[in-house]
Amino acid sequence: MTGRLRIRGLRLDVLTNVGRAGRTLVFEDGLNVLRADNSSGKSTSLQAIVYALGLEGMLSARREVPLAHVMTDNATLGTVDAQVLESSVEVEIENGVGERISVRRYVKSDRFSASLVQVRRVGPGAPSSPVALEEYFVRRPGAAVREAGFHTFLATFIGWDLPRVTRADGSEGLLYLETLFPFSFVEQKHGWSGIQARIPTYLGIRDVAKRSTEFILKMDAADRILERQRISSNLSRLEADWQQQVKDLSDSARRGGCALERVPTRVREGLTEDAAIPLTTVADRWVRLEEALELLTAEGAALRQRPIRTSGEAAEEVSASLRAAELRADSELATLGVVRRERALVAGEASQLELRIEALAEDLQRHKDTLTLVQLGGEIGVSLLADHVCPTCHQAVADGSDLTEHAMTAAENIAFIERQLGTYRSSLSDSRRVLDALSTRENALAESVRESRTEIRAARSTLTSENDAPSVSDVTRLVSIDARIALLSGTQEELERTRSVLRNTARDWAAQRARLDELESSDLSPEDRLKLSDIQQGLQTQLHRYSFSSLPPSQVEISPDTYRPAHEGFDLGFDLSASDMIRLIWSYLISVLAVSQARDANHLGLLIFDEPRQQETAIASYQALLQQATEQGAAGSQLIFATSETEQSLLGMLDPASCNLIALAPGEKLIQLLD
Amino acid sequence: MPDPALEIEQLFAELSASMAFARRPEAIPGDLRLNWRLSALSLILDRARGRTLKLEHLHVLWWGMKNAETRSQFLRRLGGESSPTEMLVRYDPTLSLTVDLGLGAAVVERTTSGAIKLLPAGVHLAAVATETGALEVQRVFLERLPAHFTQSLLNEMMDWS
Repeated sequence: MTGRLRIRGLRLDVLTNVGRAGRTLVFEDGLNVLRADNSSGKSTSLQAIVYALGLEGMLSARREVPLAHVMTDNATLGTVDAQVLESSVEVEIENGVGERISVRRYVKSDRFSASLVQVRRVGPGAPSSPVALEEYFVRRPGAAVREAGFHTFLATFIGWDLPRVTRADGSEGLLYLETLFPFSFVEQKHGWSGIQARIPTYLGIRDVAKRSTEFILKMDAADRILERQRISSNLSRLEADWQQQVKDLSDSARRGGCALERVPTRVREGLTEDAAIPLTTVADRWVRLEEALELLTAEGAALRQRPIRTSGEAAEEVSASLRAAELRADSELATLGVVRRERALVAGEASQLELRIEALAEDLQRHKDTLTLVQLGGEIGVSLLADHVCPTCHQAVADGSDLTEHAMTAAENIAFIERQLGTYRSSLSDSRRVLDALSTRENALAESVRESRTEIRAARSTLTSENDAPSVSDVTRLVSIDARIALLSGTQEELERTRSVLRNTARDWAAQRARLDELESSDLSPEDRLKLSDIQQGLQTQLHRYSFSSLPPSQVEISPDTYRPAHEGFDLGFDLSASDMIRLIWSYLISVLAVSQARDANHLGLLIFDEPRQQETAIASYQALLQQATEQGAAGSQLIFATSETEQSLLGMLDPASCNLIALAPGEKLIQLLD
Repeated sequence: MPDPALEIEQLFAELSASMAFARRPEAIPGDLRLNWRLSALSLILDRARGRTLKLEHLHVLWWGMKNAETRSQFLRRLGGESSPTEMLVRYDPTLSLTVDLGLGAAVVERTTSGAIKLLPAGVHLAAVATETGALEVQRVFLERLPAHFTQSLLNEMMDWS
């Protein structure tokens, strides 16, 4: 597999008061070695690649040009001190499908802003003439997301579909290119101090090192994490649905004069057959809804079967039931009165509590504001706020000295109010529960009173009518039974509908929960594990090859949590000798590159090392690195190493035919006068 | 019979530890916290025309800002939706002290006409309160008043005749 990005060439262009100066470097596929003495401009040229691509944010959070004086200020050209008037860098890059562009960015210029990047298509297939220039901006808000932003363009050019990641503040945003290039570029100043020492954390992306590794290796972990977040939010939505549906169920039951037994309040309880059983009263007895329907239907049928009695026939029975109904109605009315008074009392209490809670909440906010404002006193130099000292009389002025000399601190006061609020809130929820119960009771009583009155009216009418007229009591009873049956059947259907909705919700919830459990068992998919294990293997082989000696290389593993080299569960770092740290960085980055090339991944297929021989690494190890790099280059990657090793020493370690050696003469500077 | 007072005295004399009494701190309303009250004062004056208000007008606004009820009453009155009997401005004595403290701390100054004017330190205080998101309810209330409300507007509000 070829890489996603190749550096084809680099041109540094400096216009000075003594003439035009610069250098053009051409890079090939495979290993490129740029040899030059120390402080001759090697690092400048590699950093120029980073600068041209607007990626200097990966080097530092500071917003200054990361290039040496020779590009920004003054240069020694031969023996002449020259002033830089205008300078630019231009890098030619090629993507995985063979498209080439040249990217130019000015370093110092009166004509062009350093935020401007000029892109020109080159090579076969490019518009021949006139040469079309496209302009983009970098290092400004939106450069990574807006269409005119160069990084939006660059990501598309590379073929990267950047993932959305969580920021420290909880919002979501795109992963920045600055966090991905450290897998392809190790700069000299800080890059060799640790594994991925320079992944920028100042961009505020949560777990940025993990997120960028997951993207570079195209791991499923990132998707799994996103899916987990989605499922969590689905679960809370389903929980809320459940609450609403349970409320609907209770409302339907109440409308039908039923009470529910054992209502499952949480979705995880599910809806079993014996949960939320509707109960209602028939002849002053609580029975299940189905039973009530049977009883009423039977009573209705019995009434229908016997002929309607005349008033005379029914008189005796009717007067007895009239007396009973009157007594019942009286007692119900009395109880109703008591319940109503009680409810008004509790409602009054609840509204008092609400007022109190509102006032406390506002007071709480004031104390919290105070805490927020506390830091400001010193800042604006008002001694009153900073030190609580009166500026006039220089005596202590405490908070709340209008009321007391011993005021609580704001933090104590906040805790105090929160405790009060807690108490009042639970009182309020208690009052509301009692209110609910009382109003259910009140409705039931009112309904009973209505029924009793209907019965009384019917009985009276039966008793006062002609003896041979049909008994109104009987007829009314029949009508009321039919009405009750209709109401209860309707309620039964409605409840069954809601129950089936509830069952669906519970089923969806259970399915999502199971998926979440599966995802929570590990963020890594089998394919992810394979990639990490390949990296571990490559890492160990290379460590062995480079004579890594701080630990047996077979004991260095890749942590499934951090994706970084670890030993016995700890990330490897300061416990290594300085030169072994360098060997570890070589091995890790080349392994990641190799695994990405071999398996489907997002790595650029490019690795740039600025002075990989650090900390006096043994020459034998360095030779092994160069061989490894040559092999990796032959396998399809592009590697660019800058080194100050002498040409002779390099030729002893490298086969010049298998790499592109750009060697400057001893003492030669990279930037040269061109004329 | 031994004197109980003497006995107690003797008991204290024999104790190796000394007694100490500390008052327990008391809770106070949040609007008495120095930070809060000076910031609130600055926020009000910052919205006033010329960042200056007469003390009595300051009282009206201070009262109006006090709680949800007074805020809505104030806004209703401003919109001409309330009867004069409804709005009962309470003069809060703590505001006078707040102004005094503000004068001392050079957050405000008294102009020659006796009005209270916000000084740069106060302007800064208001700006920082706004930046930090503190006193949000109060700011939202003040923002609903006409931009740079004038003395005459407040006069009108207080003028029942």
